[in-house]
Amino acid sequence: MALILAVVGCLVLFLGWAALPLLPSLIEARRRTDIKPLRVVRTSDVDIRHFAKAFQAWVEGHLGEALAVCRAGGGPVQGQLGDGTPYVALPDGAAPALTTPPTGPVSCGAVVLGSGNLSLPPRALFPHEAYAAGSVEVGEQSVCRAILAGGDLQLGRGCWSLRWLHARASLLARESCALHGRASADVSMRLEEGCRFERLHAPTVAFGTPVPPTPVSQEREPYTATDVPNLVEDAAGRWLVRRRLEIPAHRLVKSDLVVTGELRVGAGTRIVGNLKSHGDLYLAAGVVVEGSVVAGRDLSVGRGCDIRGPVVAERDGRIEAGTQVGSAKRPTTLSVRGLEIEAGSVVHGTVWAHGGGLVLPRPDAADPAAGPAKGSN
Amino acid sequence: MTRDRFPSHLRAWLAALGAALVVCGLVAAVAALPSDTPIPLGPRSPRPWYVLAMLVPLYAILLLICVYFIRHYWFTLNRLHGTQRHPYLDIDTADWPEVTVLVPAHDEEPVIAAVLTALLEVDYPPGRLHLLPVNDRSRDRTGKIIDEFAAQYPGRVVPFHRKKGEPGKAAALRDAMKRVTTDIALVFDADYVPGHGLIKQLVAPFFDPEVGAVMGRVVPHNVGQNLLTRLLDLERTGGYQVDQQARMNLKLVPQYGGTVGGVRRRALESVGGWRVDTLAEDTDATFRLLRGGWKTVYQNRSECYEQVPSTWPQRMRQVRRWARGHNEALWAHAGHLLAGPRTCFREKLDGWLLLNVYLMSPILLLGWLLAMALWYLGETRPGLIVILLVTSYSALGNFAIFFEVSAASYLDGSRARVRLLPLIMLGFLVGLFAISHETLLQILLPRRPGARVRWQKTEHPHTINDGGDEWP
Repeated sequence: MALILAVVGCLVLFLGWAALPLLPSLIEARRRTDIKPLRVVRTSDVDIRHFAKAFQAWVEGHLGEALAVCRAGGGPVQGQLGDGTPYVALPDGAAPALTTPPTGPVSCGAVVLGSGNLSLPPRALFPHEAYAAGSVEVGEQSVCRAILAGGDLQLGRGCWSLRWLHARASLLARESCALHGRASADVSMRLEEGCRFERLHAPTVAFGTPVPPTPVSQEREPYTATDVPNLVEDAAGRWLVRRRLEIPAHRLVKSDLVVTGELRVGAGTRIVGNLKSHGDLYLAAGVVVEGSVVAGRDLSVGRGCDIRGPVVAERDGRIEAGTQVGSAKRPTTLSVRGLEIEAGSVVHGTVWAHGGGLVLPRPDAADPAAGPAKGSN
Repeated sequence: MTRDRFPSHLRAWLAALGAALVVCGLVAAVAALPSDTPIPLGPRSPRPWYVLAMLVPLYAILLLICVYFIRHYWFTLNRLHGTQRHPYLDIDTADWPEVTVLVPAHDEEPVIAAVLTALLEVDYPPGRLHLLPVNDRSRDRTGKIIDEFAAQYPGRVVPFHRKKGEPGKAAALRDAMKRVTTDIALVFDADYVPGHGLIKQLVAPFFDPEVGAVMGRVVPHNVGQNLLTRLLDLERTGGYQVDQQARMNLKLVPQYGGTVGGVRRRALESVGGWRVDTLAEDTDATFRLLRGGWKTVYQNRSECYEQVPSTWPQRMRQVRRWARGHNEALWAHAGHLLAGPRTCFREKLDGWLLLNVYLMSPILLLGWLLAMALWYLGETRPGLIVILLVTSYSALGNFAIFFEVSAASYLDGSRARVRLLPLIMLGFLVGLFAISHETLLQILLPRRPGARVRWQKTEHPHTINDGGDEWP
């Protein structure tokens, strides 16, 4: 009997020991503490205006009365939000009061609301959101967390925005501003030279002052599949090309083009289709692409190019002056890792520069119709 | 601009992989030596021929398993620490092309209205979105509900009542595709409810002229039903969050899954259209597109719910169907893939490994049998058996690999559910034997060319199973 008990005891001990690592599994299987399906995001917060819309709704819901008092001529209204954050609602054209701490920058520690137009002083820090029913003008070298303008929004030279900006009309960022996060406008946007940015959206996003289109010869020789070296396949409206391809200048290509190496398109060539390269992609001056441009590595776009479809580069992009991406009627998306774009270019739609974008000064010495783009043939 | 061909993190991974390979090789070599004798310095007595005949395939199996082992570690590390590729996700503004959404529905009365309603509310230019619900020989009210929508939204909802023809989703899609006039066709199962921005996310990759198909992420909805659904939830998490996204990151071969995705019509037609004589038309389409030089893109953030099987017999049937279909794709495409001019080396390698996934189950069983037989024949190499066991445990688990599941749960922010991980071994063993059984049957009793495929609909808790078209 004792022997049987000993054997059974050993067996139980062994089974218990063996099951020990499974204990968390067995407990979870029994308790069922984590049985909800993973959350699928059904409403899209990738909309660039997502924060602006949410802030607008919040202002109307929580501070609508304060704004109404201001609008009725009641003077500034001050108070505190539920979490203790102060707010100040200002009448049309007024500027918020600033505090000067013993150390650190001059700042306004309140959420700033303007019942009409709003003017934010220069060289000040605004760590909370700002809202105006009318236009907003920010003095030079100020730093703002986020601004929603019911009209135009103007940032003075050297301003920084930390989270987002939205203007219901136009947005102007003067020289050397830094627009971190999102910046959008319902009508148009202009970023002057030296501005840095990440994500932009407006029907028209101008970098510097737009330059007139580069005159390009409309005479183009057809470029057919028989002209393509290393052509693997011409099927389903697409040319598949192994390794590198260089299309000469002033050609007309009527096909989608997929190149497994580097792709160079000569000056003045017109592509009636879409372009894709696994390697770097170079468009020389005056190239017209009626479809999309997708680069597996870097993208270089010469002066005065016209790209109608989305532009995607998995690495960095450089766009020279006079280039237009999308059109007013057919806005599109430009998405690259890092972007250097010369003043004088225009994008209609969305610009993404995940690693940061920079507006370069336009090389005035160069003649738009002269030399090809960097790296072009 | 950065022009470094091998970034530093990639060099580090290559170095780590090389070191791991060397260590694995050394361990395997030492373990393979007789454990009870010193390292032989002189000539040894030759082994009997039958021992050699078993040793060589065992080493080959061990090597193959190590390849999968490294592959899945690579995927997991890439997902955790590598650069994540979502090149088309930013395209939120564009001149959106016309697109047709196909919704194959066979007796889907309880859910068809929900998917059509959701599709009518998505963020896409209304004039460019055409809904084509496919009433595939339904015997319930599915057809009537579809007709009600068509009457309410004329021009936007154009039904296709399929009253005869071969059974199965592939055949229904093939017939429905004849009515599609747009270049892009998306496919949703009737039990999916697409989110507001999903259509744009799935269409965006088609601006790339090399993309032939796009696939979103499928998320199980009936997780809490029982232990099986919870285990399948973990498997799906690993399969999509890590495996598919890693293949997208590494420019390998993400797989088109037949739903929550879409195809470029002219691409598919250029490689022969939908095949109806296969049980895995999605895998078949992936590889035919790949061989034709068209890429499949995986969009990890394009998520949609699905119902997973909730009983073991359903699961067994599903796994066996997948195994048979996948193996058919293996026979059909492996050779052509390796020899084809339109794919690069890494795609050939990954595609070949992907095609062989289901074949690995019987190979693994064979490895275990060989190891045991050799043990009893006096080849006392315990290290060999231990390595085989450990690597096979670590490298295979149907689709979802154990460390992939862990990493995926971490990435998804799930905490408690990953505690069920050891129990996945249960599903692994069931799958191992089901797949091995099916593969052996397939080898011993191959289907005649052109023979009709008998389709088995995966039952969902809310769907009506007619019990017909059962697949043996």
